[in-house]
Amino acid sequence: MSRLAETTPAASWDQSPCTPQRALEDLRALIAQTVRAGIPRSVLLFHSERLPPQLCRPHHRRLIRSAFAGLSAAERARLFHLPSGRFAAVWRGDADELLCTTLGLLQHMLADSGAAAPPLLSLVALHELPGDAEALLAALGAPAIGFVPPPAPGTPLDPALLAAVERSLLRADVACFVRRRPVFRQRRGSFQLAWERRSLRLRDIAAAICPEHDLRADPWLFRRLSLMLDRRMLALLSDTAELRGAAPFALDLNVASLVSPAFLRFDAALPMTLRGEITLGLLAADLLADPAEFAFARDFVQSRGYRLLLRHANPSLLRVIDLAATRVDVAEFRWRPDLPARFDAAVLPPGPALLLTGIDSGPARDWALEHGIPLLEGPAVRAAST
Amino acid sequence: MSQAAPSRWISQDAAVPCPNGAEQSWRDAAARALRAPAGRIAVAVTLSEAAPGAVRPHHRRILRAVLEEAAARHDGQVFAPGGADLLLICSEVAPALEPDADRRCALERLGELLGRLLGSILGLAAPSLLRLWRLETAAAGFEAYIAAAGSAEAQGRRDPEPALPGAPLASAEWLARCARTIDQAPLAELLAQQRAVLITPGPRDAPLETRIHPLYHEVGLNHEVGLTAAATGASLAEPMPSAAPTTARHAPGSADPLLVTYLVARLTNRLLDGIAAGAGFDPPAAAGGGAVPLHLALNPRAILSETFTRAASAAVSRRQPLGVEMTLAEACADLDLFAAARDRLAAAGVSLVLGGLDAAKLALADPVALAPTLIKLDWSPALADPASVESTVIGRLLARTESDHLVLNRADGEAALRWGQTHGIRRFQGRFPDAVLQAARLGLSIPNAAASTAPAAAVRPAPLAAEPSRGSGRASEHLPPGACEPRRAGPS
Repeated sequence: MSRLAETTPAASWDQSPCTPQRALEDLRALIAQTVRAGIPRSVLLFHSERLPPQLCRPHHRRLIRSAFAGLSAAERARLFHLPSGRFAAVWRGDADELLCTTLGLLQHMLADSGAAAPPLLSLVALHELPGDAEALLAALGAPAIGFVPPPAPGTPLDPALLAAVERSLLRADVACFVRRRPVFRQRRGSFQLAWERRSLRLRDIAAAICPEHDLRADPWLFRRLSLMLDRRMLALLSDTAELRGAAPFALDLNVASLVSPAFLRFDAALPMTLRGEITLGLLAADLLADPAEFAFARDFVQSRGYRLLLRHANPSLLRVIDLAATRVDVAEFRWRPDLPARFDAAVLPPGPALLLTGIDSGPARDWALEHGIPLLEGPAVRAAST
Repeated sequence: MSQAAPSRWISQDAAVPCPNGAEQSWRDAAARALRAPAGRIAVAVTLSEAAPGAVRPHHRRILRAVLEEAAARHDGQVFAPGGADLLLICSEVAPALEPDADRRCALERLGELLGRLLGSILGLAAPSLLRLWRLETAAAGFEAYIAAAGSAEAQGRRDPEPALPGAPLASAEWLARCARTIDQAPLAELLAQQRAVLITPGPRDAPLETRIHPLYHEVGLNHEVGLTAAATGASLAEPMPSAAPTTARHAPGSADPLLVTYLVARLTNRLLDGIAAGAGFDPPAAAGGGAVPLHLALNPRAILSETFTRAASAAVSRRQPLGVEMTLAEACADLDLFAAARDRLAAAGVSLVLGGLDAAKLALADPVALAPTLIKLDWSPALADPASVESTVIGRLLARTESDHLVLNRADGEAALRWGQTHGIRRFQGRFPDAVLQAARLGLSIPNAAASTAPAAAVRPAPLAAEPSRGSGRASEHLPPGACEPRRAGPS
């Protein structure tokens, strides 16, 4: 319980998201995903288990942790506190300076400890994914890439923990967890800003607030917390100071949140300039859980000028869901290297506009332009728009 | 333009019954409007006439917000006669809108929107709850409404407002109590069980008892026991939009449906542990036959868990086949996870049923694309009418898949059975088919097919040859209508 009280968002990178075993599974899953999707990532692995006992004191561990914390500023960085005291940092893109700083700090720590310290090079390993995936997995002592089984359902929920989590969520400043990513419209080869996507990753917040509890095992808890987060986001965006001069934006919500008092307050406070410029993202599972409620909420928000977006509307989902019947305005799907093979423009109905996210390379961007995808998001698009 | 202040929308959020002064004000306003009726209209949404429980607080809140916006545009005001209905008194033309065309059709658009919103909540009953009077010409109708609403108020008939807006969700303590009940109460009390049946074709005069066979034995949570046992005096907060029923049926009242899902999962986990443990646990379907698959509600994540693996292999060694049911929403939450789960089931020889499908869901999604073993379709009386929207939607499903892949759920009457058999469906689930199966086992003939409401007796089933529930690769046999009609001893 004390851990909850002292956690601040800035410290979230210092703590593992959960138990070391879970972190190891997360890392393996991330490696598997990297290999599947072909996204280039860098991994720095520190083998603390190779340190002599004199170097395994708590203050050494703190030094190692703070050295790694520097890497948290890298793009899409994630830190893992693995079993046996090992540390791993995963990031995308170029982080040479940060890497040098981190290695320098580690080297200092070893130098200060005297002659017994092993050389730095025997302790760290830098792997470039997806190429080095096998080697990295071997280093982690992991079996071959397979499906990571999630924990059993119905793990007992500690009511006191739940109450504490909710209290923390009520007080937490979620504004610092909001990620803003621009979505561009392509017009004759040039890119204009269409809207800004504002999202809160529940996992990041959960890592800060309840690091030991595994949200994924508990769909009820996950959804309940996401409903609370919706309320917080809507409250944040009902603040006129927050929205003064703001660009059009998009927001992910639960269907239940669209008919909540928080949404009505947000709607009442929306500046006139943004009326008709807001896009609300929904999950397919939410639509399908209760189509009548979805229809009710959809008709209401669309009558108020909001656009609706179906999230994760990739080709496999579109084989199941009838996009035209949902009457959403935008269908969003994520770039994957195998997308061109699976994409069949003939299957898509003329109605909803398509939004392709996660465009992280020139070829991906070119593919999107060739196929006339009207809305694009990703680092490669951001770079091209300037 | 008179701008409705945001606080007005929220403070009149209709959770608090109006004090007497406010009640009078709507009658005063109505009287004033009738004295100066030029260009004025009244729109009433008579929610007090809706079926109890059909209109939840969040529906009312949104309907009210829609009317408040119209009131702002049309220079009017919204009232809540009797605390349940919503009444808008305003100008027919919206003076603040430009151009002229917008002013006039604003009212049409309002009517259309209200109609759609009510239709989503109430279906066919919707149109009768929306009334409009032009006060210059239809004053008498409006006066009649005022009188009726007034007398309803006097009789104290009010629509119950179960919760305040923004109230907290089901409390953690309540959750803990429910969870303890699930973990510790005797299984026999917690379980709701129902058998699905397969009706094989036969000569026209062969009695139903000889052609009805158990298909699978579905086990789930008995809501009344599971929830009310723990819920005495608990304050359940704002009811959330209803989610799809899983294997178990919905609890009465305003339980948090996601919570129900959690409790069902917990119960299923307990069952799986029991099955995996082997000795000392008697799964409900075992009793003698053992060839009848036992069906449990599981989501993809649970299927991929270790508990399920252990249970599945234990079930194989006990020669107790298993089956899994999940909802469309659970499958579509993560299609990669779903695909892995389906593969795992196929490898273990466990059948997969996609359940809870009705016309509303089928209008949005195609379950055939998920390639389950069986598709469980909920019967509704609207299907008996071939011209209904539901029939069209269901018809598309029937065209896309073999009738051997379909189970008609809630087939609680002759109309359902007849419809099913007309469309070549031979698999049924519901209180009625379950009762018929039990009667057949007891050697009873079935006197009146439509009237049987006998509860399923806890009988040891005779070892009948159970048809495997996997329908893949079998050609559908088209039964002539009436071939499987249950024999009736008396007048129907």
